[in-house]
Order: sequence, then C-alpha cells, then structure tokens
Amino acid sequence: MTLSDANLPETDIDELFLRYCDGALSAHELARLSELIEDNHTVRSQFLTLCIHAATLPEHQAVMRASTNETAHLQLPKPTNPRNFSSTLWKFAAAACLCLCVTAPLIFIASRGLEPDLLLGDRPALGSLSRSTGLVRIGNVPIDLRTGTPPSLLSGDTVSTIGVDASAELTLLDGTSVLLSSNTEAKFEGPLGRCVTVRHGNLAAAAASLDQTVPLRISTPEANVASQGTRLLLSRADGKTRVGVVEGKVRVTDPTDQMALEMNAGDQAEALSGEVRRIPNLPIPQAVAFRFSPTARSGWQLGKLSFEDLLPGSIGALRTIPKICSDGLLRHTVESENCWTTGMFSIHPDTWVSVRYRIKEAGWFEMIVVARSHDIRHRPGVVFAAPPDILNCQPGVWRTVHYRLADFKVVESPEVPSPLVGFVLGLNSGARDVGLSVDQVWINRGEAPAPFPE
Amino acid sequence: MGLLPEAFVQVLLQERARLLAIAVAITGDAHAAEDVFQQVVAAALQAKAAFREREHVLAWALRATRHRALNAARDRRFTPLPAHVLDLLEGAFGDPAGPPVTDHAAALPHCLENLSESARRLVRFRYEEGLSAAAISTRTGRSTDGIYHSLARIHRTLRACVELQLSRFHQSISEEIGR
Repeated sequence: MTLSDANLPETDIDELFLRYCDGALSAHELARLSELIEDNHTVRSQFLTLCIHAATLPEHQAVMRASTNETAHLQLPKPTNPRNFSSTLWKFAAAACLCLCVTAPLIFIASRGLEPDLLLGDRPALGSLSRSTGLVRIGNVPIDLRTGTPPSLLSGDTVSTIGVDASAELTLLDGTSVLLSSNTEAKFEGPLGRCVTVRHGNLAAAAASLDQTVPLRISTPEANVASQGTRLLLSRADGKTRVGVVEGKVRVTDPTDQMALEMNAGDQAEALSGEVRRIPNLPIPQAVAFRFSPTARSGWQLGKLSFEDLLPGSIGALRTIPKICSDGLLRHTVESENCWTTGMFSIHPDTWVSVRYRIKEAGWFEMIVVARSHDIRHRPGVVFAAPPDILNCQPGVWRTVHYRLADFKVVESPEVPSPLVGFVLGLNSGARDVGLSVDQVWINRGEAPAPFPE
Repeated sequence: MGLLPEAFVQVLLQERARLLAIAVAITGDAHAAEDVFQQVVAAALQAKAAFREREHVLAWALRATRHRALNAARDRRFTPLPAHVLDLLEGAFGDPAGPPVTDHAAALPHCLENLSESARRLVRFRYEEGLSAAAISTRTGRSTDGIYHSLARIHRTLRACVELQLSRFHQSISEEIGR
C-alpha cells in the first residue's frame, strides 16, 4: 500500500492505523498519515474512532471471553474435519462429558431429593460461606459472618475477596470445599456449584468425588480445568492461569484449541492464551534472594526499574509505582509475582526476611508477606506485616533491615496454620509516594540473618 | 473549595474511554494506555486541591494523559504523531461536540459479539494479548499483510455496526420525544 493517494479507501486508513500502532510506518509514511489527519476531517474522525476501539477492545474482549467460557460447557463442539478422526472422537467424548456435567448433578439431586429451602427464588442454593476474613462480598453485598448466620451461595453468585487480607471459604452441597484467597473474584454456577469461573485471584479446591462423570469444572479465560476427587491450587492474573495439583488427577484444557494436558499430583502447569504447558515442579525453597538489574526484574511484577544513586555493586533497584488496589485505595507499591501454586519460600520459626531499601522523603511504608498453608486442607490466607520499627528510616540513605518472620504481625487471621508457604512479598507506602526503592530482598533460615547471597 | 476526591475520580472514570483513546493515539498500545490512565488517576489524587470544577478536571486529565503517554511512548521507543497533529486529536477528544466516545465504547461489546469466531480470535490476539501483526502472523502461520488486511476489515465491520447501533438509538430517542 502506498500513501500517494489522498482519497485512500476506508480500509487503508484502518491498516495505516494498525501499522502505526505496531511502529511499522516509515518516517515518510508517518508524515503522510499526519498530513491526512490534519487535512482530511473524515480521516481524522476515523482515526479517533480507531483509537476508541483500540482503547476499549481489550476490556470488552476479556469480559466477553470470560462470559463465553462460563457457558462453553453447555455448547456442543463444532463439526470437525472428518479426516481428523481422533480429534472428532476426542471432541465427541468431550461433548458427552460436558452434557453429563450438566445433567448428572440434576440426577444426583433428584436421587437425593432436593429440600424446598435449597431453592431461593428461581436460583438454587449451592452451599454456603463457612469462613471469611477481611472484606468479602457476595454480589455487591458485603458479608460479615460475625453478625449473622452464614449466607447461602446461590447459583450465579459472584464471590469477591477484596484486599490481601481477605479470604473466603465456601462449602458446596456435595462437600466440595473452595477457598478464595486475597483479591479473588469467582462465580459459582451449575446445580451443585461445580462450575466455577475465576476472573482473577487465587483459589484452592478440595473437590468431593461424586462419580467419574461429574467433575469440578473451573474456568478462566485461558483454561478449563476439570478435576474429580482432587485437591488443587489455581491462580489467574495478567492473562495467565497457573494450576498446581496437590492430590489426584486434573485435566487442563485450552479453550481456544481444545488441547488437553493431563496432570497428576505434584504437577504444575501454566496456560496462556492458545497454549497450555507444564512448568517445572521444584521443591519449595527455604531461602530465596532477589536483586534487580537493567535486564532482570527477578519475577517482580509491580515496580519500576531505577538506576539512580545506587550503592557500589548494585546494578538496579525497583521503585514503587502507584496502583489503585481492589479496595479502591491508592498505594505506591513494589510487589513480587504471585507464586500461589508453586510457593515462593517455606516459612519456619527461624525464617528471616531481609531488605535493602531507600526512601527519598521521610514517611512510613509497610512490608507484607502473604502466605498460605502448605496443606490446603487447612485454611490459607495469612498476611504478615513487618514490625513498626521499619518506620525509623532516614531519607536518601540505603539501609538494610532484617526481621524474623515470627516477629511480624499477623493481619486479620484468627489462626495460623503450619507449615506455611509464602507466595507474595510486597512493600508499599500507601497513598503517599515517599520514593521507596529496594535493590535486594532475601529470605533465609538460621539463628541469625545471613548476608545477601552473592 | 475544591472538588472532593470522590467527585474528580468519578469524572476520570466517566471519561476513562476518552483518556485511554488519547493515550492509544500517542503510545499505539492499549496496555500502555491503561498504565498511563492509572498514573493520571494517581496524580489527580495528589493534585486534588487544585480542582474546582468538573471541566477543570477533564482539561487537566487530557493534558496529563498526553504528557504521560509521551513518556510511555519514549520508554517504548515508539515514534508518535507530531505535536501539532496530537493537538488536533486532543482538541477533538476534549470537544463536547466531538465524537461520542462513551456512547461509542458502550455500543462496541454488542458489535464484538456479532463477529465470527475467527475474527474474535484475531481481536483477542491483537487487543487482549497485545500482539503485533507480525507476532500474530507467527502464531497463526498467516502472512503479516494478511493479518493487517483482516484486522482492518474487522475494524470497518465494527465501525459500521457501532454507527448503526448509535443511529438506531438516536432514532428511538427522537421518536420518544416526538410522542
């Protein structure tokens, strides 16, 4: 395509816009596009519309795909190429399983006899919220278990845990236990609630075994997970779903290509759109260390790389960035990636957390470690906050602090199961930006804190 | 007295599509645009005392979005349109009589549902995963030019659909008023 013709067809402007966004226009083409936008009102209007599309399509697409996944199990697969007989056979089997997923719970309920009080309005009750910490909502209604009877969970209900200290444990009618950890949103459907759609966050499930045809189905935009009498962990964030199997067998299916992965106890898998792959199953370490460089964020997901005024030997630091959290509050944050399924480090009575940091302005910040139980039969979702003396910091000076994790304050948790696994580390200075940077974070076990492992 | 934080955050959220669109025009990337929006909200919360009126918030937010988007473009080594063209676009986005950004964005989901499965797959690659045409070409085994053609056709279809939706909506409003 050339830009010599000022009366470009509509589609060519679209293509130019797409190439512009990809940075694929030459200097001459960019200049010509600029001229067209400047001189031609129609082109300008079309360009504006394209910007609106590009700005809002990611959100619309994600929402639409999530709702498609919610109903995917009700749809039969499309006809396939008859030459690919094995694929057709597999899809036929999948269709049969999906139909059974829908009908078998009805048969199960009919055989047990559904009590009248299990039907509230036109939505069947699926179970109840048995335990919670922090802010939990069912639909838009905040739930406080201290001030009333446990609320029923109805088909179609969305349960949200808002904040790192929030968790909700739900018991379904068939005995399946589902635990939602911090900042999680999940929708429960199906007559027994055995079809769960996770929009984001962390989930642990111990699926009751009904029979071989009624799996617990957990859907995310990237994966459909079917499990039967198993215990599993699942996390969903940033277009990525991770699954870890603790006990039993799990099938993970990519919703796009219908490629399936069979997983056994101890297996870990990651699903990105269009791909499901195994990830290494490594033992959870007792010690970890993170440092930052121009090319390595060490897996930390939130924070901006910074290279100013570093100490000798340091080649990068991570500086806080503003983030509007799920509770609606602004926090200036650096945060590790979420290791819910794999675990980041195991927690023991002699575990030490060390951090080297600097602030630019006097002020406070907090460090938190979010942990779960190693055995997911016990409730996870413990948040540890650093002791208050971390506030005693001097602006402009790099400082190293060491804390025994046992001295951290436990936030919003009536009980602390043991052993524990840390899965998120984070530091934040709340709404105020105090210019917090960290260049080394490390965890070790022992009588005393160890130096940073070089 | 300045606006309460709830009031100006509400303005920013109402105008989110408009601000994201101007950021896309400068960064070429929807995900970078979302980061810019987050920065603008954070900066607005810090500068809250300065806001007196809703129009003031919007004008400030458009300008702040532009500056931050230019920074983001620089970080991404992306060459944006020249400043005088961005002035034109910013003016058009900020003009109350300009394109009905919010209506347009609201009509889009319905039109997206009407796309074919293969078209939606391309939209997902491009806008949900943020892939370039070259990356989609690698993923799908089709030529890069072919991907550009297909995406351009999808945009034309969406645009026609949105315009139809909006004209029907305006027609129904006129009929309602006529009664």
